Amino acid sequence: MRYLRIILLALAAVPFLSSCGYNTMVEQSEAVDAQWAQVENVYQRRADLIPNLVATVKGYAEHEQETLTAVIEARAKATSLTLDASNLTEENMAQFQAAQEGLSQALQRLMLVHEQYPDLKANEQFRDLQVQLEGTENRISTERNRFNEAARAYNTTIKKFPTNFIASWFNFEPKAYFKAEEGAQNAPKVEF
Amino acid sequence: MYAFMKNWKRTLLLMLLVFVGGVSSLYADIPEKPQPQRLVNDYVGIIDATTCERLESRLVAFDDTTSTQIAVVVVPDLEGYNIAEYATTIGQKWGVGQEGYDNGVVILIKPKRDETDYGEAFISTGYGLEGDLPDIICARIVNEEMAPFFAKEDYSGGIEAGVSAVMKAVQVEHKSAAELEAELDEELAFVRYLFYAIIFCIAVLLLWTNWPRSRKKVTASSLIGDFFIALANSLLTILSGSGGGSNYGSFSKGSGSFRGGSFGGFGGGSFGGGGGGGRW
Repeated sequence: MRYLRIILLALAAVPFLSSCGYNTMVEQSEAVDAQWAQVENVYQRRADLIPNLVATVKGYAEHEQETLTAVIEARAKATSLTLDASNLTEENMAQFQAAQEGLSQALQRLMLVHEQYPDLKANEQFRDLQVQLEGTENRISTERNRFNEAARAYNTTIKKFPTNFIASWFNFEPKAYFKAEEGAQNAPKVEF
Repeated sequence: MYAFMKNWKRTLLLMLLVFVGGVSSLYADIPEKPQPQRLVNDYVGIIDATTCERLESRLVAFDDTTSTQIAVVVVPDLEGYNIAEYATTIGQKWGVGQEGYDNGVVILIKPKRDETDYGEAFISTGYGLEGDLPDIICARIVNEEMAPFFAKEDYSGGIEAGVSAVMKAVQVEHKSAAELEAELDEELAFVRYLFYAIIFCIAVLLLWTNWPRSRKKVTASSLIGDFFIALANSLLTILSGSGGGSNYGSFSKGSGSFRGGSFGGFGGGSFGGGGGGGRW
């Protein structure tokens, strides 16, 4: 009889939980995780372009060894730091962003270099890589924006009354955002 | 029960719309989906009327046969956005391409105003077309097929050339809306038969296995049996109701895609920032 009562109580709690947004929180949390996977995807896409880019530039610009090394190092750093979707705290996010930002800046310097090498500038493969890099930066900014939207929706839900009680009972943690950096917010400008 | 399900779906859709609306208010300066919906949207008036009509009917026909939606948008100003971001946002906000297939393309053109200005164009691809139209190809179409016309101020010619090139690139791959619908119907039919089978099994089990143990319980069991038969019947009506008519199609195109001439509306495709462009 006691079990029956517990079962009944549990059953009665189901509509209560769903009306208090438990399911919404789960759904939104999943949406954030899925979007995070997309973000990692596009960053990986950028990392994958770099070996080709470095190889192409190397052939034309021997005097830019330093810039090239900087790109390779920044890439190694960025790819070594992965961040699990369940661990999106402010701190981890800041680290992740800093590593990717380092790579963005190194790449920006590399793309400025080409101006001094007319042969490189005219190289078909280099032009294609430029376009691909630009496309990848666009994808990164699109997916980052979408991640922030998803995280914002989720964070709003877990902070709102009365869902905040449910959120704290079930340990729904707030998720960190991508922050816009000064000056580096836009994709590296690649001129045609 | 069916009415309830229908309402529930409608509510969900409404909620989704509100949500999407809320999100897209971030990009308030970017034009809303045109009403009535069109594939050629010239906010500058730079395409001449005959080309505009011809282009629209070509694009509608292309949508009808391949379900790939190509939207042409001409804007006077990018409002400070990067052109790639602008084009991607239009694609996402309007939902160019079919939902789930994400086979939409946005060709965005910002004409050159005067000598101090430069013109820009960008071809943005939905997630589903990133393979057919890689960024490099998009950039090439803009730089090699369109920009030479634009440089001579022949916007109609350049846009037509661009549209033709995009069509050529994506033509091979995708199925028509009618085929997609037929496929969906097939899937539904399978689910429906599964339901029939399960209900039939339950009914058989209930009626002929150990249920009527003694003569005394016959009334009760036949009541239960009646109940399940009624339930099965109602389920059957529900299922045949939802599957029988082809109104179920999840495309906003509505049933029967032989509308001829007018554009059936954007399908809810999604964009991830892919594409390429150029300047002149």
